[in-house]
Amino acid sequence: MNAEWKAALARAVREVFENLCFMLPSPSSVSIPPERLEPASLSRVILAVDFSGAGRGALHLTLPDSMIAPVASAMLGEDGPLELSEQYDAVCELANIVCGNVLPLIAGDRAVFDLASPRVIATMDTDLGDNFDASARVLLDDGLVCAAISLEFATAQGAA
Amino acid sequence: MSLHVLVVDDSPVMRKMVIRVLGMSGLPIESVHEACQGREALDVLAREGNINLGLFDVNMPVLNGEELVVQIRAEPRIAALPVIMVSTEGSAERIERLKRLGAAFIRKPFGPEALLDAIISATGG
Repeated sequence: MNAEWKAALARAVREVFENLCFMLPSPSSVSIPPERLEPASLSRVILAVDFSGAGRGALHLTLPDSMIAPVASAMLGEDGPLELSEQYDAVCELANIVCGNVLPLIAGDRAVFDLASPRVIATMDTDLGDNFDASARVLLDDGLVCAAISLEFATAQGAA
Repeated sequence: MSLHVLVVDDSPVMRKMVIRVLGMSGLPIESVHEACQGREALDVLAREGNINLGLFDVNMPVLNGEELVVQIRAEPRIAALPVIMVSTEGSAERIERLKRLGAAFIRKPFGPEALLDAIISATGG
């Protein structure tokens, strides 16, 4: 597991959720207490963003189902309920923005990537981590968000 | 000066978010028009004669943001339109390319202050 990439993932998740959703990291986010770790049976949504260009890979963003509605409402500034499709569109955009923000942190500002449209790959409980080069968990007041990335550089370029 | 803004993005959610931030900027927004890709944006620009600011996504189907700006710069009637490109991908190469096209750049996520700075940069104050 690449520690620098893990830090980049955590930073991107924190900044995007803070700026777009006004959701702040929990004070205990540095060390997540066991009682805040969500049960394995908790229903989650996994959003995937594939990318190519300077490197090829994918970013997966996982959040509890219970966060989808508040995240979408916060992003769009809507007080009332949103259509489910709009909620999913919003969290897909969120994943896209996290991906767009983490790649320069890992590969440097000069690396050019093309991001595919974000997609929902699962709504069942799926563990992230083993198939990725780095992953990070960020505990927000609203729930635990996990991000994981796999990235293979097109050339011999390493992390910036 | 009142602003008549054209927001172009293939994601309705992103258009909504951009319009929301525009509303929070404190700028005198007179009207906001929307298009979901570059070709449709050109139609709106042809139809609406008073648009004086464009906020364009980069990655869009049919005609992407960069191609849209190239076409705008080639059309004398709208060539001087101030344009801000909005994208998640902000590589230095892309930003330099957009600057050469006379477009400002703002990276998602952004708030009202960053948008205000970009608008000042695009409109020359």
